[in-house]
Order: sequence, then C-alpha cells, then structure tokens
Amino acid sequence: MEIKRNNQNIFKKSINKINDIKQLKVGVILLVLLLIVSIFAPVFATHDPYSLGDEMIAAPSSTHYLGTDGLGRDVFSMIIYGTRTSLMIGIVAALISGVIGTLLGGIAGFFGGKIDRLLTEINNIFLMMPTFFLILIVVALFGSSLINVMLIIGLTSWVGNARLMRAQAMSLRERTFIMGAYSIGEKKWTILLKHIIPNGIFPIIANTTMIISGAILTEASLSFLGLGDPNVVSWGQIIYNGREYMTSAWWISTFAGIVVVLTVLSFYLIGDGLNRVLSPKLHDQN
Amino acid sequence: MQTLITAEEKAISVENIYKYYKQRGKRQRNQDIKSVDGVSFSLNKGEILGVIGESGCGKSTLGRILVKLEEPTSGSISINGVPSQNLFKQDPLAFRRTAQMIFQNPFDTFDPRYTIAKVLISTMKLHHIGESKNERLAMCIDLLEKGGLKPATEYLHRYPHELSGGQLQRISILRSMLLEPMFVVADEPVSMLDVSIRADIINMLADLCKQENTAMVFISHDITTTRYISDRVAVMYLGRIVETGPTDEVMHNPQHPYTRALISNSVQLDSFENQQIIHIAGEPPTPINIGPGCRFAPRCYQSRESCNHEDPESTHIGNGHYVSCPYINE
Repeated sequence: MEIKRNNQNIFKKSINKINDIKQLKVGVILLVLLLIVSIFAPVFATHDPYSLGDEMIAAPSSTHYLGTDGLGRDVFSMIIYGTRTSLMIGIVAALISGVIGTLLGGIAGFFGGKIDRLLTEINNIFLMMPTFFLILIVVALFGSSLINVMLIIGLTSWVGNARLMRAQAMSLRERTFIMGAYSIGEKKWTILLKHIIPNGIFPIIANTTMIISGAILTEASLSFLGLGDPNVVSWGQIIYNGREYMTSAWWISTFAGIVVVLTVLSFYLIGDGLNRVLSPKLHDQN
Repeated sequence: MQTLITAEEKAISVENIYKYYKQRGKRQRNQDIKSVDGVSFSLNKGEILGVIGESGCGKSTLGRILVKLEEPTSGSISINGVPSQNLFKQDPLAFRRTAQMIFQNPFDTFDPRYTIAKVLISTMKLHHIGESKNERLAMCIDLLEKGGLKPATEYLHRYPHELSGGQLQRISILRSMLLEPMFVVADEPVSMLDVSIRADIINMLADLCKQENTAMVFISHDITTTRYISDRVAVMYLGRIVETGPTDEVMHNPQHPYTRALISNSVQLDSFENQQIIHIAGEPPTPINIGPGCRFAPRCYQSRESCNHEDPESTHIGNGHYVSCPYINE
C-alpha cells in the first residue's frame, strides 16, 4: 500500500512538473498527437499511401486534403504513414546511441585510467568524423534499407552521450554512497550498473530526446538526397519527390516539411524541458 | 601496543602502515605525499580506539585503508590473526562482513534513488542474509525498531532525502551492524549532525560495540566526543601516531607537546581547571618533504636543535601510554 501511494505521488508530481514547464507541455502534447497518428494511421488516412491515383498533382480539396503528388498519391495519407517511419527511425537510432553512449561513457568515467584514455580517444575519432558523409558512404555501400539507416545513425551519434555520461560517472564515483557500496561489498560492475548509471542518466535522457530529432532530420536529408529506403514512405522522400513540382504543386513539399519541423520541434522542446526538470540543481526537490 | 597479548586475540592489529600518494606533474615526480607514514596499533574485541588529529593528518586515509577502500603502500593488517589481504583474496564478501565503515556524511551514504527498505534488503541479499523477501522485510522492521526508529513501517519506504541526518546515520550504523562485523571504522560519524542528536548517535555506537563485542576505530577531530566514547586514544600528526594510551591517561596527563596543545585548546574539557592555553603557530606542513627530524619540531614550543635531526621513537612511559617525544619530562 505504501508503495502504491508513493507511485501515485510520483505520477501526480510528474504531471505537475510537466504543467509547470511550458516547453515540456507543448512538446509532450505534440508528441502524444504524433504517436496517436502513427499508431492509428489506417484510421486517419483517407487513401492508401502507396496506391497511384488518376488525379496527379491535384490541389488540396475535400477528397485530397493536402492534394496529390506527381504520381497521384494522396499527400495527406503519405504524411500520416510517414509518421511511423520517421518516429521509428528517430526512436530506434536514439536508443542505440543512448545505450552505447551510456555504457561507454560510464565505463570510461567510472574505471578511469587506461580504459578511460582508450575510450576517450575512440570518442575523439568519432567526434572528428564528418558523420553525415560517413552515413552517405555506408548507405551507398550497403544499401538504404530502413534498418541500415537506423543502425548507422545510432552508431554515429553516441559521442555526445558518452561525453555526458563520462563526466557524470567521474563526479559520481567520488560520492560517499559509492564508497558505501564498496564497503558493503558490491562489485565494480554492479556499482556501475546499479548506482552510477541510474544516478547519472538524466542529462543523457534529455540529450537522447534531442538526438531523436537529429535522427529524424538525418533520415529526411538522406531521403531528400534520394538515399532513403525506397520501399517505405517517409517525409524526406515526399519532400524529395515534391521538389520537381515545386512551381506547379507547392503543397507536396510544403506540408511534409511543416510536419518535419513540428516533430523535430516537439522533441527539442521535450529535451529542453527534461533538461530543466532533471538538472542537478532542481533534482533534489523532486 | 599492549605487547603481552598475542596477535590471535586481537580483533585487528595493524603494523607499519604506509600510504604514499604519487604526485602528478613532472616537476615533483619523485616526491610522494606521505599521507600515512608508519602507523601501528592493535585493538581487542569490543575495544574502542579514538583517533584524533587536525584535518589532513591522515586519519581518514588510515580509516579507508583499514576497510580496504584504499590499498596501503606497504604494511600489514591482520584481523583476528589472519592477514586481511588473504581474507580479501579468498572471499571479498567475507572480508566486507568483518570490516565495516560508517561515513561522515549521512546525507550521501545511501543511493538517493533507493528507499531505506531497498538499501537494507539489497545488503541482505548480497550477503545471503534471510531466505525470502518477506523474511528480509521482517528483519528490516526488527532492525529499525531495535535502532530506535519506531514505527519502522514509517521509514521503510522513504527516500534518504526525506529523513534527517540523525535518522540516516542510525540507519547507516544499523546497516553496518547487520553484517556483524569484527571491527568498524567510524569516520567522524557525528561531525555533520546537530549537536542535540550527537549524544544519541554516540551512545548507540558505543552500546552496539559493547553488545556485539565489536572493535571500533573512532576517527574524529572533536576531543570531547572522542574522550567520551573511546577506551584508548591515539593522537595523529602528519601521518604518524605521536601519542597513544588509555583515554583518561592521555587526556589528564598528556605528554607530547602536540597533545598538550590540542587538549589545552579544547574548551569544554575540565573548564574549571583553568588551564593555560598553549598556542601553536601555523598549519601542519604539507606531508611531502618531511625532514629527518621530529615532524612537529617546526611548530613545537619546546623544540631544540636535536629535534631537527633525530626522529623520536615511541617510548613506553607506563600504563600502555606511548609517546614519541624524548623531552617529555622537562
């Protein structure tokens, strides 16, 4: 019963926190809308996004809310199905980068010494690499399936997370409760996984949310360059296809672009809001 | 120090512990910081040794070495006659059960994300105490109530930041005692607490030590508290024990000039005696380049030429009272 009461408190408290911070509130509302749209895509979509219609580059009307593209596909439905692709890429890539960054950064900061030096050098190498061109090369060599794109974005964006986690681990390992954990007999790895990472993960959570938006943008850029997965609809691809019709059918690229902006904005707002909620200064109060 | 008793009967005996820290940077590469510089003592079961000294004299480092949070540069520690090195290699958990530490800052002793129940239960799990979840929970409640935290259910599901320093320090002591250690190091356990609850915590520590027959090293810079709790006292200066002996003996009959100065500056002690306060100038020097002579010589009020050359040896002046100063009778 006690635990239940506590959980309710936490839930209430977090709702209050979200209400307190404006950017978090706006971001969360946008994200919830996006999630609903992506989950119930078939309900919202008015047409099959893959079916080629007879009306090509039709202006927005009551049958095609946002018009059609050069192949007669319904832009509105394509954008709705594209939400799935973009969110999936963003979240999976950010998760990969979050996990790698947290582990490598945590190990480097907590164990220190030679391991730290080695991992920091690897980190520096990745930091120097022109990431986008690396992604281009990989996609050109190994094909542009959705999984490839997710993996490569995730594998190149963990550097910031690793740096953050390393700094966290370095400051946490000097704290008394870590000494206490040693003196009670816990092993190094247990301490890293049970105490250091859970206590130092907040800035990584905030940063990872921002990486989601970065990944969505990267995917859109890849698609815009014609290197996206051709088998699934994505926002970048819609923009890419609409480019040729820019003068005669402005709606194709414009609406897809607006959705990209909104999505990226929502994750940035959430990231920024989380940063405020979880910052060490405020942390003691929640 | 009590040489007649054999090592087997000692809860812990420490011989010639040295801890040097390497300095970083090129210029002083060969100069070590001599944090602990040859410390020996031993403790019987249930005995409490108070270690006093200024900040930076190595007393906390000594404490951390005793519970193996740090490795000594050289020297040996045996617990119950067994070298702690061997014990630790054989079974680290068993070593942790024999040697426990209570930290200075109770607010930071527990993971801020763990509830009190989780803290205690994870410790029990780690050391295979108790069989089932319910049994462990019952043991927690028992333990907390025994430690004066009633009703225990009030505390079980709270987080560390929801408790006061005194309560947290009680829990910290209880957690250590849960493992039934052979000896405990208490590193300034009350210096961060309100004066009003210090006595409670001190009494709790002393009672538990007597009940469980646990030896304790009580590290503090507060002479009055140390005097109250400990059976024997060791005064440290720059990494060495300069004077040691039974508490009353050292407190009422301090021999080393440093001890004298310390005690004369402690206001609460026997204030009606109207002691003359001994002033010593300056601060303890950094323990890097200590000359061949007595460590305290540069600040000592009775230092003379020979003090700068000869390192004084620890001499027995009766009653288990040892002093490292050759000119005590003058």
